[in-house]
Amino acid sequence: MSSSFFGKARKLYDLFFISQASAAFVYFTVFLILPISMILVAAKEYGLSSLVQPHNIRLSPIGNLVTITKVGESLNIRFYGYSFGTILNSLIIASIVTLFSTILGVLVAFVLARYDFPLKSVLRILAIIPLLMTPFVNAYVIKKLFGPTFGYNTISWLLSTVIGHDVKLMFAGYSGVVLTQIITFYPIVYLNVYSSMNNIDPSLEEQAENLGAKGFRLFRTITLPLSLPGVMAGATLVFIFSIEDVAAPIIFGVRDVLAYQVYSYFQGVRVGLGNPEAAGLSLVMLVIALAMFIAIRNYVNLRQYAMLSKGGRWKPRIRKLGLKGLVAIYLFVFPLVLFTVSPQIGVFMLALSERWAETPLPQGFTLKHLMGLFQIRGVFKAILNSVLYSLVAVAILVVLAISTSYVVSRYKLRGISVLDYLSTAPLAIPGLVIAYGYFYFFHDAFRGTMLDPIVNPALPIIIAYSIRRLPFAARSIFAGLQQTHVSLEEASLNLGASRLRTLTKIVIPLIILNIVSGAMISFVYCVAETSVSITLGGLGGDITSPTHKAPISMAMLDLITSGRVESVHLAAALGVFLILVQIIVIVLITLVFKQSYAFIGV
Amino acid sequence: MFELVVDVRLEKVTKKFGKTIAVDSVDLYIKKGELFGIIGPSGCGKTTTLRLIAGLEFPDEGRIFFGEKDVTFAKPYERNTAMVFQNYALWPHMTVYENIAYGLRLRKLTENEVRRRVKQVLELTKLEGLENRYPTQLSGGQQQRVALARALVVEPEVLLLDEPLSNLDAKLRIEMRGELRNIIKTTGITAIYVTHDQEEAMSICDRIAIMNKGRVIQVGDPKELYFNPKSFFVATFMGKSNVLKGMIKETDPMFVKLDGLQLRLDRKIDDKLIGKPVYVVIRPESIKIVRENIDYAENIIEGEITSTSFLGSHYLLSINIGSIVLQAYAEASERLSQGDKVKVRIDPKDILIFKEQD
Repeated sequence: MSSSFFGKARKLYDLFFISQASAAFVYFTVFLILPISMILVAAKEYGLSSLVQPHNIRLSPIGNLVTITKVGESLNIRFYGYSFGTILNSLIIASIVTLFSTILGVLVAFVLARYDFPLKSVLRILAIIPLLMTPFVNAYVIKKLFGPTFGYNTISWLLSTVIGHDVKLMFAGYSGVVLTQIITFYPIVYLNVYSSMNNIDPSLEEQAENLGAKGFRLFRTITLPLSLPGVMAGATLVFIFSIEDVAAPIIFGVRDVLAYQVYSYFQGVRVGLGNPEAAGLSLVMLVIALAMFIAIRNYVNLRQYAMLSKGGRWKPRIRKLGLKGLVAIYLFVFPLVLFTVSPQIGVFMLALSERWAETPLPQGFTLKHLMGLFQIRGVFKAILNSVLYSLVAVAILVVLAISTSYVVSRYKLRGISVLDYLSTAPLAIPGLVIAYGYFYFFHDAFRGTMLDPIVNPALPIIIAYSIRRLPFAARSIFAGLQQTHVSLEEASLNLGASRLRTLTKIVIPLIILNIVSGAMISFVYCVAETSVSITLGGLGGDITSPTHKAPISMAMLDLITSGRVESVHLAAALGVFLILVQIIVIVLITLVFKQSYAFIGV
Repeated sequence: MFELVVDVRLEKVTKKFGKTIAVDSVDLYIKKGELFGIIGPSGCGKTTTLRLIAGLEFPDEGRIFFGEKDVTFAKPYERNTAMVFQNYALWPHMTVYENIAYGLRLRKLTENEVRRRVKQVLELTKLEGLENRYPTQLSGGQQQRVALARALVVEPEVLLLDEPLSNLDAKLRIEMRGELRNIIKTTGITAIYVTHDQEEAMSICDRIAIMNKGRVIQVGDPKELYFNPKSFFVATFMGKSNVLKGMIKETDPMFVKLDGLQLRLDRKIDDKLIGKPVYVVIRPESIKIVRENIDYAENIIEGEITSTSFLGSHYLLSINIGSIVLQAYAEASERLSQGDKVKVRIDPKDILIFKEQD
């Protein structure tokens, strides 16, 4: 492809285009395609036959879903779950999480997109709070609230107090992972479906009402099918995020899932001993994720969902709710959404309390953990590391995003869409797969140099961030370019300005808001990045050392798993720090830059 | 053809959106089986009036009746109307057949009955053979007919059309006028047709209401509105017109004095207007070029052609008379050119006088 491609390009276009396109292609090839393909090589080396062994795929499951015991007056209900082996476990957990997240997300989106009721804006804000990332700490808090414990977890304590009867309800093992992931990931469905529903021409629903449709029938035959692109996009992302999520399995001690196994490879590397199966399992993760991605791309494209309408009113008609509807919202939707916000509330409580160990509620108020962020040198170093890595990564990815978006949106050339796919693909590639590929590739190809993660993980982490978070900036910038009429550039070219001058003097100033907000979103997602940070980042020395190379998430993981009560509070303080960074960026983008788009979406 | 045909009555209907009054105390009576037009400039409240009749909005004041039935606050799915939207609102995830069958299935008809009725309406709208296409695979005109078929198939009491032709290109739009009227008239249904295009309304509708700023200004059949406008707004909204300022002279017969000339009037003019400044509206087609002097004809004026634009079947001329410029039509065979001196005649009965720009 390349010779004819560039041959044609040279005839048609200028040096500017060729240098931009090839620079982007080279970057993607070296830092995305090559490391990922190395997984194939590695997996082949170790052999793939072990993947079908019972510990990976077990058709006769072990364990049980729920145990109910009576100890004296006390009723113990303990959920756990069956093990079907590593690969099947991941698939089953992801399927259950996707199903529930989709139902919940569609419900909340529908209520917010179509109905008007008091306190609606409160619900809207509550619904996106679970998206505020606090790696590991939110899973830890969910475990404190709903998980296994010797005494009462918070929910059992509340329940027992309310009904006046001793009940212990706990979610352990797989059920804990499922619960955590549903709470954390359902807003992804909500946001995608909400924006889909807002893009439906209102007359399509009005026509159905006019012909006699109402209520659930209207929803099932018109609203839902028309928001299917959003449902599919959200569900797919949840599925992929669930497969690659390593926090919940670590916190709930579930080892036989793909993410944990790949992660544990790096734990092994730290002590010079890696799990040889990791390559094969990474490959499985990659295949699942890519298959999902390709499946929905085809599905959504197959049918013509492009809206037919050209004009008309475009303000969705907000319906008033009847009494039954209002009751359902306040008694059902509000508590459900409040429940999903509990981890973020818990993170604050944990960070600001003296002690929250054996008791169902935290005890004492203190700011010492927040102060500790700056006083404890290893922790402060982690913050500095993350900020430094993220800033450099954002600088790289913004340049890359401008180049690819500009080339893709302005040069109509067959084959150029490959660049488009490459710049959005990292969204679908599990972070652990990238981490594994990077380790294998850089450790092998650059052994002993600055790019070898064993020597210093900083550069590989930065490059991995720049690839993983590229889609966020690319989408924002691409949207800006699409809204900017090409004639503004043509006028500049027509007056004799070069492409480069046109880009810097005309295009960039026109889309500067999109660039800045894209950069800020990417920055937030870099600072809160987990997969690469806790794998490659773990190779950068112990976090108690003042010169370690680990980023924030690695520090949080180490603090939480250290077993010391004090450290858990410190991890929560880091979580609060991350939440504040995210809130500042969201407020800046929506209020100052007036940019509004779903923070996560395909 | 349809059995349930009702008349529609709006009594003092008012609808506000925040502080703006979209529909202001509107009274309308639409007869059984009538094809009734509502026209007016954008923002005049015509679409809101239609949506009120459909139940997609509810009025703040007033009542709406279908026959004897008060439907003012009936939900859209409770009243038996069918609407054709400006953008057709065809569901992209359903085929033509499914789109049309949707309303029938909601009415719980048997699949056989659904098939029979869909087939019948496909014939009526000349859509046979397109049942299994998706809306994106249809031309604009076909989409338009599917939207109409979907509305007609449920045999509604009232058919509502919201600018149904405005998304078609100019040529097709004119072709569809006759077809649309034929289909609707075949069914005998009561239909309400909203458009901003007065020419379209005149060629399709039996009677027309003209709205402006939320109010109904005048109701009448097309000819009545065109030749007997009750207000300056109606006169200038219906068709092209020359608008001049003048003064009524108290003589018998009456004259209107314009800048540099005076024209005889034929109509009865309100006595209160005598000696007052008035607006004079003359349609271009009322200004006729005359080749020789005819003694008995009044209002013959000399002028000079200052511009001509050739429109195929005829010319649009600008004729300079003193300090006044009048627009007029002339036959394409007239072979006129700029600078020609011509004589024109304005029939006294074609001169419209209004007190103010209301």
